[in-house]
Amino acid sequence: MSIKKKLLAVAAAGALTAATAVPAMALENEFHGMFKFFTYQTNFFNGSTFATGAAAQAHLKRGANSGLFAEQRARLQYIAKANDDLKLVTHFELDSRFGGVTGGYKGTTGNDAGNLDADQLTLETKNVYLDFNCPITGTNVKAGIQPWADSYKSLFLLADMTGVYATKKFDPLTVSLGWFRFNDQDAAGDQDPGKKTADLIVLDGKYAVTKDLTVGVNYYNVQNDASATSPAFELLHMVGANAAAKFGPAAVDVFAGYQFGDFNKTSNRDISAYIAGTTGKVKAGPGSVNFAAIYLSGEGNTTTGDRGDFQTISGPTTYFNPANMWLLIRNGQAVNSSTSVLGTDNTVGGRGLWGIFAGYEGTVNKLFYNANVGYAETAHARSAVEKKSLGTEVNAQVGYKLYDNLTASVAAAYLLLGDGLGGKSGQVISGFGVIDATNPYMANVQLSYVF
Amino acid sequence: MKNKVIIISFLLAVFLTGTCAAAAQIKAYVGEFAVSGMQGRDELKGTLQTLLSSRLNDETILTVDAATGADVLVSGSYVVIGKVYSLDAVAKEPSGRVLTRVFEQGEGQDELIPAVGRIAQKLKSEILKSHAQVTTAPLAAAPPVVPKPEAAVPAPAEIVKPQPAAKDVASGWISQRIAGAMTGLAVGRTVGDGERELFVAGSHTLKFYRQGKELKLVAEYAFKTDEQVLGIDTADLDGDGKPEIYVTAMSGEALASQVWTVDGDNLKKIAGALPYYFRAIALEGKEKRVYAQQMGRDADFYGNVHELVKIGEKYDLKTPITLPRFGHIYNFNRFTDGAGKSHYVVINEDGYLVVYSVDGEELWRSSDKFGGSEMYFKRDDITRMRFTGDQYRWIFLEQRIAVNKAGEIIVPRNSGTFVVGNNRSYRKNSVFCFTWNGSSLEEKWRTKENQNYLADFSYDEAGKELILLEVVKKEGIVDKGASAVSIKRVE
Repeated sequence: MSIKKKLLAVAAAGALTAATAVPAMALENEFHGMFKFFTYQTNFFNGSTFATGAAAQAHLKRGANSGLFAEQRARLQYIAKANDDLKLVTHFELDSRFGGVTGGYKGTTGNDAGNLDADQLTLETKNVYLDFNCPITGTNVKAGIQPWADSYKSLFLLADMTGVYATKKFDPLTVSLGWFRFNDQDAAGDQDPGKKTADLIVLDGKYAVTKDLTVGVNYYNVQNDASATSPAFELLHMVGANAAAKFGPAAVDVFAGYQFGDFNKTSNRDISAYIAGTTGKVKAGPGSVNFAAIYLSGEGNTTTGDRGDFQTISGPTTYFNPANMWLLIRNGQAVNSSTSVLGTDNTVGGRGLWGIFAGYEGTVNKLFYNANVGYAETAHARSAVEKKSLGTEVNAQVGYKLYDNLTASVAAAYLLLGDGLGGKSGQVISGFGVIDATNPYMANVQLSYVF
Repeated sequence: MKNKVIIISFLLAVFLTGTCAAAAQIKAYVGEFAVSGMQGRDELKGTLQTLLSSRLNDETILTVDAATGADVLVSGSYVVIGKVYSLDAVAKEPSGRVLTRVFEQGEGQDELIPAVGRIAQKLKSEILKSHAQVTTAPLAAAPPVVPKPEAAVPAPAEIVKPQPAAKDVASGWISQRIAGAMTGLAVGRTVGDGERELFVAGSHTLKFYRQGKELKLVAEYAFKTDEQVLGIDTADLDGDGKPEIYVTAMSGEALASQVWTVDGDNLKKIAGALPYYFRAIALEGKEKRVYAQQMGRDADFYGNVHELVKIGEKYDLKTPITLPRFGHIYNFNRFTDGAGKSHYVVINEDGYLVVYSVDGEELWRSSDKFGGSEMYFKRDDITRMRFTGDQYRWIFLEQRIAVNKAGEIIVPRNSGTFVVGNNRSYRKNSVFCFTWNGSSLEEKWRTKENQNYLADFSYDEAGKELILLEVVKKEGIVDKGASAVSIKRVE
């Protein structure tokens, strides 16, 4: 453990002691949660999250044959609030596919309680953390297993992680400093844990210039002494800037970041990669036009030499919800079938990605609707014949607010595969594409209860 | 023995006579005078009250120290214009029926005390006359007697006096059912024939009523389907004697509030697309003004609350108010204590009433929860969707806190059987009145708990009336629900 890391840990422990010294008061019990039910008719999804392109690839081979399946997710959040400045947040998840799935489907090696007579252990931990305000400085501190999202619309990292995260407001400036340990590979029982670790240090600043303009800068540092695969690099520095602005009827976010560091120190391979993107909504007529565009730098040769491809901690902890896709980029509404034709690897095996997405959404009293279209391709091809095009998706969704907290909706999506995923021999992207693959589609019915 | 019987009989007779005489006395309460047009007004308010109380008191009229239980309520004003003064007084029954109005005028303060004496004589004469008419009126002509079990015996201050149901009291009134689960209420003028203008808002509608014996729908406006009304307020910012209606509304995910006015029997929009939340309150019980706050790109309530001013046809913000912790435009008010110190009162995010000094120090917080609203709006939060399961974050508004001239705080409480997280379904309501005793808020009165969700309310200080908008039937999947307006007099 480096000196920096030790200092952070000591600071967190100190603040924790100060918070627990606050006099006990009546406990305020706060509950939140959700329940989502999906039933799919699809030739692609199966109720699992395909972590890799190879896992998704297997499902592109299914052809036009489709199946009907259903799945559900429940989340329960309990917050024990001692006073305005101290609370314990706990959050749990229960996933099931109707009929059950055996073999390490979710969390444990058992069933997922979707089988006959249920009776399985399916409770997963999402968050367990203490959230308190320092009585001296007013700094908000979160310590424990907590959610965290980057300032790049989750294209770098969105995850539940163990860590300590401090936020101090100096209106209009907000500064955050955090330390997360997302891997410790020292064996259980080791007398000296903390050697084979992977840590993320975050320094983030946001400044509200006006009510309609917020600008931010950030620095992320990842030190990976734990694993050669997740993440694949050893040391990463990432600096970036972002802005959120409102111009008349338009609300626009932009972000850009640069990564550098050691991909492999021993073989002297460095990282030099970048990301840029924009998302937004423009009020138009009774609804809004939404749009998004991203660019993740790619690498033609990942075997030797420096790396120019955008690095992430792991594919399953990246998202890009503003795309509003179902098949091309995984959808934010999805639960167990939270995956896409890229698996969860938006870097397409280090080739990089660019994509443009747009749609229209609106409400008519209790009715809501949206329709979207998106196109994406890789930033780099690995050979002269490998095609970059991933495909074009069109989708639509219509729903109705049954009660304030309960909505029912239907959605349908169709992906016209590009040659990179469904082209001829030699054209398809290795590890992702399938020669002459059938275009994937899906239709789903969703019930969503959120409180 | 005989002497003893005579003495006892005599004493008993004297006692009974005294009791009967006391029972025949009319209890009158003289309120603090309204004084204007001169210096030292505050001192004179109490002085005139004392002078009139002592001159009104005799064997027929007993002046009492509290309005509770009084048969007659006397209020007065002392106005000086130039060198001439006018001393006016009105005597009313607790039901609001005026018994008499009298006045005296003169020049210079030397004439003031004799004038108070003359006013007292005039009042006494008219009160006794009116009282005699009531007591000697034929039984058949008398209004139905409403049992007032608690009011017959002066209740100790610590005992809660349940309010009779609104329909059973002379001052109570309840409207017919209004179709739809309405969300906002604002009061306009009282027009010539005594009808009161009421404005009622739903999520996508603004209704203009006149309230007389019945609630008459005069005009209605339906907002666009992508516009959501968050609340309505009234105030006369341009001073034309006709209050404007300030409608806080969202169009899509941005604030696009509007200002309307009454044009004969119609509603007329005079401003739109204003990026403000509105709320009209009487800070420290003074004149009702409209306050505004903005929405930020990230912050739901951005910056300070400001007073809204109308300059020509345009609206602008002035006089920022820095609120204490948890404070935003929808959950605060300010009151003045007996020593003239100002304090903020806020309903915090957990529903507790918190009193702060003007420099932000927390002085007190309630043990029970107050407020509670089902009104909310949503903002896009798609990045955190993976954590919350919802593309939007929900921002709930809060109930109004009213403060009257006496520094009393009037705040409602909704409660229910199912209020968990963002899932709110209130079933019962009650309105409370508190006074600041120097160290904490002390309950003064409360209304009987009603089996409905209270969507909004207004307090009419002049008429001492609570105007309540209740949802009597919740909205269903297809059913739009129903609401009702009721009026309760605060005795």
